[in-house]
Amino acid sequence: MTTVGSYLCGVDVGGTFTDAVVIDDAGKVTLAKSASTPDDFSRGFFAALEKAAVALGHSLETLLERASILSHGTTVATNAVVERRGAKVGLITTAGHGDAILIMRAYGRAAGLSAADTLRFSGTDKPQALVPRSLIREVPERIDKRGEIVVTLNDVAVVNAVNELVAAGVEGIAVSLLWSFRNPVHEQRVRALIEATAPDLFVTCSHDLVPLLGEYERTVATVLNCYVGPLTSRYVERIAAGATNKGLNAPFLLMQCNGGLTPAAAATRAPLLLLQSGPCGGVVGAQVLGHILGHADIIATDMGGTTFDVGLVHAGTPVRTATTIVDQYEFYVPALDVKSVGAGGGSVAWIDETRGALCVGPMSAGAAPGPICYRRGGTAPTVTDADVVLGYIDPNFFLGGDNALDRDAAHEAIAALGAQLGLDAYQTAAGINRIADAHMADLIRRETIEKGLDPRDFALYSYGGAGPCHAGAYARELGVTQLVVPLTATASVFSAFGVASSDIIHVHQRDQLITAPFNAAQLRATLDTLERTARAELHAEGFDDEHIRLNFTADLRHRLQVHVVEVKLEVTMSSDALADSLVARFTARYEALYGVGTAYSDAGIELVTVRCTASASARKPALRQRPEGQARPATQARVASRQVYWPELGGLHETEVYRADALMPGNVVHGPAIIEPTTTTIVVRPQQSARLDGYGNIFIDLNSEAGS
Amino acid sequence: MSENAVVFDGRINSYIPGATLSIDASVRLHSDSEDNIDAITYEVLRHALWNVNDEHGVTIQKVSGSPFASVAHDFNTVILTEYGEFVFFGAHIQYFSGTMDLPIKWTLENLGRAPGIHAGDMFLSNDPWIGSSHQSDVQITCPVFVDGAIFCWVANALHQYDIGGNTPGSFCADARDVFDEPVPIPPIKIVEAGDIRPDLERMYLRHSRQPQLLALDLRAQIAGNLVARDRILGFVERYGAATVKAAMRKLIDDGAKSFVARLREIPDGRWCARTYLEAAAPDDRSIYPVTMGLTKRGDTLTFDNRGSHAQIGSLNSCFSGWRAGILSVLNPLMCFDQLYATGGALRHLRFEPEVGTINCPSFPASVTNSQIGNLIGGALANQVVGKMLLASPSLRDEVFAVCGASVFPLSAIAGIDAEGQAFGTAFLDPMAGAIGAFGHRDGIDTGGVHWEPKSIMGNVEEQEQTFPILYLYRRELADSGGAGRFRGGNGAAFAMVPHGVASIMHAPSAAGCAVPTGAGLAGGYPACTNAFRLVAASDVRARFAAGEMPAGMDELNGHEVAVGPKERGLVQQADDVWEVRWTAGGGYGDPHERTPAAVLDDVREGRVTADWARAAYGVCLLTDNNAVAIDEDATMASRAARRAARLGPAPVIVVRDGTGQTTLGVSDVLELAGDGADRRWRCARCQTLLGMAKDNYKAGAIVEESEITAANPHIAPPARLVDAPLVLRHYHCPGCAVTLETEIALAGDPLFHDIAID
Repeated sequence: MTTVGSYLCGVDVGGTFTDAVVIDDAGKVTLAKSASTPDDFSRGFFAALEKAAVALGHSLETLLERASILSHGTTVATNAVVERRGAKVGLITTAGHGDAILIMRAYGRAAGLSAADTLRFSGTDKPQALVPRSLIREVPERIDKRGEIVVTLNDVAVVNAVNELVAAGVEGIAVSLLWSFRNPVHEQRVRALIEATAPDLFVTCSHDLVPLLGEYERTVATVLNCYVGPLTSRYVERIAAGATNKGLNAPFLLMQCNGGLTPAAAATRAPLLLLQSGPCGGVVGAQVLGHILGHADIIATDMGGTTFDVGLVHAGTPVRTATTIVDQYEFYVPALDVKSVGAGGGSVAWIDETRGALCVGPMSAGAAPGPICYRRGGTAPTVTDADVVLGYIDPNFFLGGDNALDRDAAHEAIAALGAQLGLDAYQTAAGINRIADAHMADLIRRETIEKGLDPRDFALYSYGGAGPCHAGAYARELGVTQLVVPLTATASVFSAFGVASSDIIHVHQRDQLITAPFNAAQLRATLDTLERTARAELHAEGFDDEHIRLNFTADLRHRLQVHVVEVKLEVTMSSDALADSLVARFTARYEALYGVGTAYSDAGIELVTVRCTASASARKPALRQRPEGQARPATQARVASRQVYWPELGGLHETEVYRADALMPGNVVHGPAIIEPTTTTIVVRPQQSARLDGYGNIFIDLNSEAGS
Repeated sequence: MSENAVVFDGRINSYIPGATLSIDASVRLHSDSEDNIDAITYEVLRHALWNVNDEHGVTIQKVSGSPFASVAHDFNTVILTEYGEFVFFGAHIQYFSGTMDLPIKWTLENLGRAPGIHAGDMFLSNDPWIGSSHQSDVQITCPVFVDGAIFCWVANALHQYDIGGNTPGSFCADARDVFDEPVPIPPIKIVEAGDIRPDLERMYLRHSRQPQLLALDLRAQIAGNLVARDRILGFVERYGAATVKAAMRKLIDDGAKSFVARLREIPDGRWCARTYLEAAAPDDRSIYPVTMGLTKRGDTLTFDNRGSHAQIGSLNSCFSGWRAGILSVLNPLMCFDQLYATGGALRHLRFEPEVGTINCPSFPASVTNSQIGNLIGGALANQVVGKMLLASPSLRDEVFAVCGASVFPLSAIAGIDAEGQAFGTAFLDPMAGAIGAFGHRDGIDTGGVHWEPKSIMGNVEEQEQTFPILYLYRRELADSGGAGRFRGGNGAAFAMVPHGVASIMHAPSAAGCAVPTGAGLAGGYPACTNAFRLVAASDVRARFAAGEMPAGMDELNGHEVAVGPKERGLVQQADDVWEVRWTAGGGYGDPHERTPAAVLDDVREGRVTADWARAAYGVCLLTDNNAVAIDEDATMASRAARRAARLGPAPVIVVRDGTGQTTLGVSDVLELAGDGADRRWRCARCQTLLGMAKDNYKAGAIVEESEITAANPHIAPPARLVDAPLVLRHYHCPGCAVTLETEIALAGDPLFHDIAID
């Protein structure tokens, strides 16, 4: 795949900013940042790439012509769900079962919530329905567990349902019938009737998307695919077409929630896989960088304009989850375990009048209208406005000075907000930050301490446009001692770096219920089929066998059990040996998980699913390392000083400001100080110190006594 | 019987341990605790210990072969100190965890010398008089040893599908006494020095109609304990035993502190609740009162069961389940921000059960249907604790009315499948419950039950995959939640037919089919009742063949069989359709105070019907071309007419009591004004005088009595099932006509005295 003189291009579109990273063959990283353009995200996409091209002395067209890969991470699907801006979706389902998605197996009240939230009934509710009851249509039909038809599908009822839904203005129809994954004939017929009646609708059938047992989680996946589908497909197609028109002659790949990339065409068929993918780039980037820096356990935190995301790398591998939850809806999709809260630079500060309390988020001013200081019409004070008022962000140096910020307007609005509580502007701004920082620390606590992991055993990576400004505070609350701002200049675009560093990943699986002793020939035939499918897909995407890696696993269980244990399959073994070894492998893995003596083979052992995870390695970026000699002291990077409000010090304090690109590897900066790379602001709090390493990472040492 | 004669040792009467345990000297307890644990370590350990229960539970779900555990989470886990004091409940069935200190304390007091308590041992028990919720809920307790001494305990209880007795599924509706039921097992050492004892396991498995399932579940329970034990030992290794113990102690202390702080925001007083349980045996048409009293004095809450019926038939449940039902309510209502660290609250609770009663029976009463008593105890506790909290402005918003499945409509099935294998299960669909209305917003439709914060119900496909059945439907029921200013959450119903087998045997066991048990709060209406329905020899197969899926029992042509709350020998043939409906959530406040816009939204989304909107809420709607809108004039007229009807034609002497002494809000419709002997009840809306504080405020209210069918459109005439003259009472303010309270009573019952403030 590698071409001399080629570029790896990664673009990450967030709610507020669009980031581009271009890595050349020598490992030189070029980055660019542009405002996201929610009315048509592709404008921001190409604007960011063009900025990077210009920095390299190219036109956008030349950059795209020389790209070996254009990879892309996007929150477009996730935002559509969280902000309830997805398509108006109708659901067609089996008569008698239209309420399944409303009943939510009863656990919708608490799905995905913290223990503290789950236990307090008064503060929780089911989420706003993705499909209200008025857009759910039940059609007479029934298939049983063997796939046999019990009630034949009533075509007239389907056509009536489609007409009603179309009249109600739906843009897409999700079709999820009971047992469709055992016999898809009725779902296929419904699709055909929809296509005949309303050919322009976005249609998803559950058996196509997630052929797995469990109508609730399958239906949610199907509905979500439709909900984000029209918007996401238009989005992907627009960018793909634009890139091709502008000269791209390389694969255009999208980041999926499993931490791997997938070609655009596959992504438009299953846009669901893009849901919750936005934060995966950063986690994969942290894994790649952590491997170089010797960090096997990393808390990867990304603070952008609208959300704060946390993922973990544990023992060198991103932590994964079998199902994903978005807004309390759970669905089957293997994904990196990344959690979010609405705490970003754009999070709005407001006053809860009944309690008379200052609150931050979860509403966000996003990119439009954005924080007040952005001068784009925003009127609600945000976390970024507070950062400007406190002096952390230099109004004249934001984004390297491209856009001067309106500090006075931010100050005025925050002062007005504080006046309602009897606080001055600085106290109010510091309060806004303290609340936002606590929200972020709470999420990290939930993902580490509440899972029995001690955050003090982890390095905390902080990236995203607003992350390095706040990390010193939220890391301190957790007792973390090692904070890393990865690839300093790249920190604000680190997700794009991760997107540019990921592999292509496709997962193929097949349900196959067989009982031990396993039939070796049958098992081999299944594995061969999976392998052929997986290779064919990657061949079609332009990869040859030497770049393809296949991993086979099987899910086994004792008869009578519901839950399964995933066992790795060594496909290089002979068929007989493989089949014979499975029971022993299962028992060993089972007892490793649940304790010696817990396996109960008397009940019999069943194999339920065979799975092939196929990955193809895109080119990995090589990183340049400079020696850490103190050629020049840190003081030479000092460019100015300004008044900054430090609550730890009780008020405004004249504070040194450093230019990140003037720091030398090995330089140490003592807090309180501000370090300014062009695209973010690193706040070194009192009693903390920062050191630049040879790769360009800034390590912040947190004195654990500080502030306590 | 004089009180001195009652011995609470688990033989004739329930085991109730004393404040200090009598433990054999050979048992060593590891009690070292650090004095001042640092804040970060405490916080880390607090969550890590919480998480141990989570992992423990996940292990049980994964190893168990039973849908009870893996799909419906019908189990719970717990961590206790070396003495058996609660540290944390898991987030599953609260009343399972709430029993677990009892077998542990019993084991410490009774098994220390022989057979001894050693590292690697675990104890199995299901004796309700010692401390299980009933025989089906098998407990396995595991001492965690550090340096040869008991450092703490981890334990779990898991519902077993069948543990014996005269009925498949072990809910023995016609049991005369415990000898017709599964044999209760006091704690036995099932695991000795790390190995399952094969002799005891064989004896245990011999109880069951499904021994393989029991064996798999036994391993699930052991595996869960091992995971929890090893995680805790990991903490001990990392942080030191004294530090981990300090975290446990502080958790309990903090729980106690928080509980007391809440109690101090509540006036002293006494709150009572009552309901009636029906059918002590199949074909029994009687009903039996069950009551709960809660007395709050200073830093102590005392619960009693005075007024509950004497033990009878198969309707009893032991002290362990009664107390655990109370804890299962205190956790969400008063310990919600302490991760349910109930041990601290327990230090401030007293229990005064009268023995020989339906909820504290003596051996050998029949007790396999204890789920009825455990849950109704929880529902009554919900009412008394809820009413108590309404008297505290800061806690009023936490309160919810009685939740769904307030008596679980247990529907057990059994039979032989197409392969000739015995099958059996019980439908746990009612776990989807419904959350009762809150003091500040609506309840949650099919939002689960308060006694299981992680309530979950299996998919239809999971059920059909495992059992020879086919569901016709599973759907929420409009109007089923109690009407109110805030609406109780709606419940649901499901219907099924045998699929691939000629017949299925049913053994339903419930109450709440005639008497509404989902009480409302502060004037809110009760929710619908439970219902079992069977339409025999129906045309369901012909309908299938014709391409139709019947949407309700009333659409079927067939013969409706009258099904009581408890049945034996009921057989569903291939053409028979079985339906189960569960009680929904109670309402909060007078439905006439609900905004018409909220009612309209409910109607548009199918949560409330237009008929019920008019009948219960006085909201009239206009329907035009499928668009629904409020008929403002008709609504105003309807509400005015109802107000006039409540006040009645006879002139009522209304005394407004506007003078401004100190007032105490007792709920948001009731308050007390004045001090000392002059203290009096009045309506919080219009300050109309209702009587003196020492008297029942209901005596000063207008009493409106109607058929209980008026309470909810899904309530069938009770005469189908019981002979008692049940009535619905509304108590209205004579000044402004706002409803102050509703209650279910027998015609002629005195006004139930539910609130007395000291």
